[in-house]
Amino acid sequence: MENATILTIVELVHKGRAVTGSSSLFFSDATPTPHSSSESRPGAVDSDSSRKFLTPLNHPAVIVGTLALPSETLKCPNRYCFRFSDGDLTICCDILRFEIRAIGTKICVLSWNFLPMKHSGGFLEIIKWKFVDTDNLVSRCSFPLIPSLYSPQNVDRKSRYSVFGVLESISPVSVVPCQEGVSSDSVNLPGFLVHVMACECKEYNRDAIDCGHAFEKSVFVYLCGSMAASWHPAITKLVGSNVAFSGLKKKLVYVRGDSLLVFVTTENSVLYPPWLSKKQIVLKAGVDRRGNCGSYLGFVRGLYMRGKLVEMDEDVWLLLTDQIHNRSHSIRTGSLIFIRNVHLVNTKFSWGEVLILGACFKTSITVESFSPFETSCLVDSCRQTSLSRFIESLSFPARFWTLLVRSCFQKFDGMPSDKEILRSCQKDELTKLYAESRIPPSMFQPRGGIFTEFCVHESCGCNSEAHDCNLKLVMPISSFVHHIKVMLNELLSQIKKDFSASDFLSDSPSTWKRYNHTNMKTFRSEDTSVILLGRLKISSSGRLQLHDRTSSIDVLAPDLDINASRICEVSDYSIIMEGIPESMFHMPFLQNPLRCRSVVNPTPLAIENTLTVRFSLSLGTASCKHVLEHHPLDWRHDLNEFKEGMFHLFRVTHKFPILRNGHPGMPDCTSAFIEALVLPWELICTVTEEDAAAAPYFEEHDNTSQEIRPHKRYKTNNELERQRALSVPHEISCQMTIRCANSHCLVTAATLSNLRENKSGNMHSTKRVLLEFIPECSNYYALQIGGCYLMKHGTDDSFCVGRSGISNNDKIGFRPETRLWSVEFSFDEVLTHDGSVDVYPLVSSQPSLAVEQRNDSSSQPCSDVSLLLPYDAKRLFSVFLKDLEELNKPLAAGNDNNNIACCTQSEKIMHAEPSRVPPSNSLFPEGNLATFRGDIVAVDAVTSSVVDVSSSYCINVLVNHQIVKIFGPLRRHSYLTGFGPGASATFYRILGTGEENRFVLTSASFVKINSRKALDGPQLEKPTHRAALCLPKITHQEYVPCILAGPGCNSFSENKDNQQIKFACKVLSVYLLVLQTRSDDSSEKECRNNIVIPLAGFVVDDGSSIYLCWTSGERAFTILRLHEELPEEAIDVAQWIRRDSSRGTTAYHLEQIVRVHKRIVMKCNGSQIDALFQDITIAVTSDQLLTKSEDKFLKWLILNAISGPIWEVATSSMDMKMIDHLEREQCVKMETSRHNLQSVWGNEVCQVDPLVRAWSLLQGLLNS
Amino acid sequence: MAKSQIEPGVPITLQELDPSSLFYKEGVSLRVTAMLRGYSVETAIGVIEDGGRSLKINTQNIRDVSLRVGSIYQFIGELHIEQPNNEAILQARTGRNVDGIDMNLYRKTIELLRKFLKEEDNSNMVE
Repeated sequence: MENATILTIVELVHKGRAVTGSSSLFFSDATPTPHSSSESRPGAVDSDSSRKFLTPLNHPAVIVGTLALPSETLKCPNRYCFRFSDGDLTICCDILRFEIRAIGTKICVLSWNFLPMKHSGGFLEIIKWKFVDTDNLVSRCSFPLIPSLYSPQNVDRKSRYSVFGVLESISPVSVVPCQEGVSSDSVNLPGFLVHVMACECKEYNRDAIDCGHAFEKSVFVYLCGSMAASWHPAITKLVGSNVAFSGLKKKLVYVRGDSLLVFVTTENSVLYPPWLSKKQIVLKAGVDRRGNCGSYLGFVRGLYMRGKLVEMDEDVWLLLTDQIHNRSHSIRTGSLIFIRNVHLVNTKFSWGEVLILGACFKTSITVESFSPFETSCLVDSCRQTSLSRFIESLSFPARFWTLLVRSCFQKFDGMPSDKEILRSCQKDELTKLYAESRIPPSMFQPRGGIFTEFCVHESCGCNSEAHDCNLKLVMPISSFVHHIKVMLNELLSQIKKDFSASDFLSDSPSTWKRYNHTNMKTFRSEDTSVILLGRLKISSSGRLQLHDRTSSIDVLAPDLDINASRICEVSDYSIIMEGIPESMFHMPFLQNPLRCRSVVNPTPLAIENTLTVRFSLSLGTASCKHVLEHHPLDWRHDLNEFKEGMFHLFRVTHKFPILRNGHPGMPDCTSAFIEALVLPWELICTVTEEDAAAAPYFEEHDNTSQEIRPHKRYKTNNELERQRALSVPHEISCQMTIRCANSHCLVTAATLSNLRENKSGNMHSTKRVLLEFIPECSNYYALQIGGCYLMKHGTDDSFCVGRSGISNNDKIGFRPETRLWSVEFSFDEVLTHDGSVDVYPLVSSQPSLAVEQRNDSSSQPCSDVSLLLPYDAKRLFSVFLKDLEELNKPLAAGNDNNNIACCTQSEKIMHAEPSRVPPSNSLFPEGNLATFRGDIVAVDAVTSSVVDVSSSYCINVLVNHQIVKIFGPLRRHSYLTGFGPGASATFYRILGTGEENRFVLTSASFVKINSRKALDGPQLEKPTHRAALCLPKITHQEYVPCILAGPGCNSFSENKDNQQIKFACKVLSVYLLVLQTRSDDSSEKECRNNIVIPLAGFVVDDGSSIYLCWTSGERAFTILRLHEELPEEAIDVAQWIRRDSSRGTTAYHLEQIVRVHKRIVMKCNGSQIDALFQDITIAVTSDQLLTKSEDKFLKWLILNAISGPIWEVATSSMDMKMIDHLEREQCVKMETSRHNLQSVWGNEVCQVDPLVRAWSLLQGLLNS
Repeated sequence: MAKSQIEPGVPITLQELDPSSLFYKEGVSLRVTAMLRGYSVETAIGVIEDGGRSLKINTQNIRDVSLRVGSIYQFIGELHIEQPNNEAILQARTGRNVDGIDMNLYRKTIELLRKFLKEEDNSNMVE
């Protein structure tokens, strides 16, 4: 101490470095040990090693100066900071072990941190200090709030009141306009409120402290005036201790209609510092919860969003959203803070649980220990934006969510600037718009003023918090990618663990590689509850990607409107992982809770990627919305477009692929072409202003199309009859539903008017035209083959400009600004019959989706406009709306019955006739065009020339159980995202080669990826329907029951190289069946069933011999057909009431029985071959007897298994040791020797389509 | 029956059964598969048709097979050539409904079977 040098503030500020110093400790340069701040526990703060400790001074040093209350002279954005001055310079400071006596006196700072700050030169954190002159201190036990008029004798009668008690809470400083004195100018008077639990005794007597004071009366004191307000930082430090004020006057304040007595400070008011009382020594616990509010002690792990969002512990977040808060600079990353009177809101978001510490006007924060790290100080930004006002009006969970969203939008900085967005609204504005569209009205809360919320705290909105919040997490892409990688790695390590114990009977690692290219696992967005925001772009490799500043992810989305400048919200998607090891495939993904930290701080830790797993997003229907389209103005604008407008109607019949440069034999062409049929009808629409204004608001994803239709009649029967008499009516009234911005719907009347040709007659025929899209025109991507669209009629629209009418084969150029709406038709029966309304769409605007999407989202109407026509019009319109394949069908329908006997028309496959195509002399390949849909099985590289088209690839497509080979150069098509084995694709206009089932891709062929097959995953509700595709599901637990860490394990090692034998078989009977309830392990609860089958033995016949096939788990489930729907006759309806589809499965009913009896062992003692005369014994572990119906059901189960399909089973042989082991493990007597049957273990089970199998066999035989 | 020994029914397609073929002989045992086009209860004679060709089937010896026009049946029996107009009729000794059969596949399997039997015969002769 004696050797310590005295530093001046000027020196510190001049150096401008963050340092820590102390009077006694000496730090040598060689070993810079971290710092002196005695109480801090750096280890507890963060494991992040990147954080830098404050540099220690290499010599002992003290600072001598005066501690002062804030004043106007020091310009600090936080405004109410302590000052520290050594005579030359004054800077902001914060102090530990604060005493009121220290104010205005000279102190010696023994241990400190100094942080440079822009606005005032620096910030001093005083860790240890002492008085320089201790002699004068004893007398000071009262402190006038306004020191200049320090004259306690001069007592005004009004200001005779005093208050003493425990200081409960303190409000931030707020400004009240008032008139002062004689001048009529209004003055902004700062001040703050304190809440004291006071004793009712009149006289404050310092000596009688601990005798019988009861601090029970709630009292508010308003410290008014700029002098009194400057006490704010000092009094904040006193919260929780005893204080006394004297010289107060009483005032009545009206708060929400109620009068409230408030004590107001006067010029004579005096503050008495705290004294120690026994009651007062409060232990600062980590979390102290009293009702809704509580206190929290913890380290700051991070400050985000300009200090609005403070990360405390794991999943604990402090919200400092109110602008008015006066916070200390010392709330830095690494400091230990104590938060009083904070709202502890446990919120269950869909992605996980978060404890939100919501700061309100009562909240006060004191720093208990300064951060030893060199982290930036908290500086208030006084700027109040519309977003901050918006955030303040929300409940805490919604505020938290909005801040997360804001941080995601932050990630769009520095990107190719979106002028539209940047000019019109800031990112804040964007966040606000987005949040407004997402946050339900219940999460908004009205705010009172500071007085209301402080004084009547319990009654204000702060109190009622929504604790469940179904807002989805919005994540930056890098965090999302990181999250998936972590999940994969964890899974891999899990598998490695399992594998080391169980190499036997499970897949050998060599099988991983073999199936690598087809192994995919998908899980849906519902499982992750994450929304991604990003822009779509096509990467240099030709893949479609969603990207933000942080990262990018591959996207599979056929025909999407790629507007690189707009931010998309992706909410409905599947994550597809390709190339995962097969064994991983069956394992449930461990659902890692998502950490909000990764959202605001997306700096992914380096992950050692041991796997080469590619993953991509497959977007669901209408899942990708442009964020700005939620703009409330947007939909009104949308409706205005419909106001008294006329619209052309056309239907897309073919899309020609965009020809990239360098396509052989083609000139460079930048336009894209679409073939369309222009319908001879025009839509005339009459949306009025009132309609637009009254458009109701509907919840998103609400299936509104039917509910909201007012079933009014718009035609009398007479009129209709008159129309019917005419062959083609001139006008048809219809009802139009316009969906805009996906939340607003408007139903209005419209008219379809027949186009006339030359004013003489009806234009009966449609016109086939070619639409040309220049590259800037994104409409090309949005149009779907088969879809109908509306285009507004105008003097300069593409259809009308420069021509008197449309004729066949016209080329019509589209401009980028042309707006199109998709339209779907439905026909209403109510107009002709008195029966109930029967609305059904004849054709959806996106037929591919309607046909192919089997998930829930397909049920939503996805067109922009739907037209409800009278039933009579159906006949008329079905001509235009008939199956597109019909329209595209070439004339060469074969009469050769022999060839097409197996293909009905509905199969949509046409065979080019083998013999009829004459050898052509033409330069170009000739043949018939076909269109069909199928699943891509494999893509092989070939080097052959088929019909003069040099082909580099052969795509094998499974169409109606037949393998169709499509040859082609594939250069362009191979770049399609999602193209490859496992994709379901529609091939439009591919050329028949003359050989059966062989086709060629031409430059006019269009390939559309409809979906990717989900081979596994929880979304498969009925696995047996896809059994041919889906391999058995084995959870890691049930790899094989015999695999144990015991000695038995080694005995199987000799079987490691055991060959797996695959055979197709039928179940003859069920020999043994063990059913039991699932263990109570919570990790397994999310599985669909609560039954496990630890062991099942089936007698199976493969046509040549009979085996006893043992298996367990999902494989047994499959063979028993438990996932299938229970047939009506199998159950006693009175007893097993079926309510919904999930309850209709056999598994569900079985579960009911197993739940009662815990464990059921069924054994067949009779003949193995003849199932009907089996002697079945059923043993249960529960005390209850099996009821007759249960007994019947269980026996039916066996019959049901026997009547199952043909299974393909991959088996390995079992030796006696394994059988013994299984017997011991399951406590059953397997008695395998009794029947002289060979026992095998079934590793994989899948259903066999005999026809597919037969065809593949045949192909194999023919090729051999 | 003229023959003392009953031969196995050789699977053929109806297309192969034209008067010039080897199978178009009195008393040949055949197995035919095709769709039933017509059936007369009085005469118990049905007509099956496949690939534009048809064949009469005498079903008087068949029991327990319900004949439904439009379904696909498989019959095994002996061919009888009715002389005046050289018309063939199969005296079915057994028959079954094979609805759901993939006729394309079935034709191919017949070819394959023949190929196999032929190879088998050849290899037998070599030995």
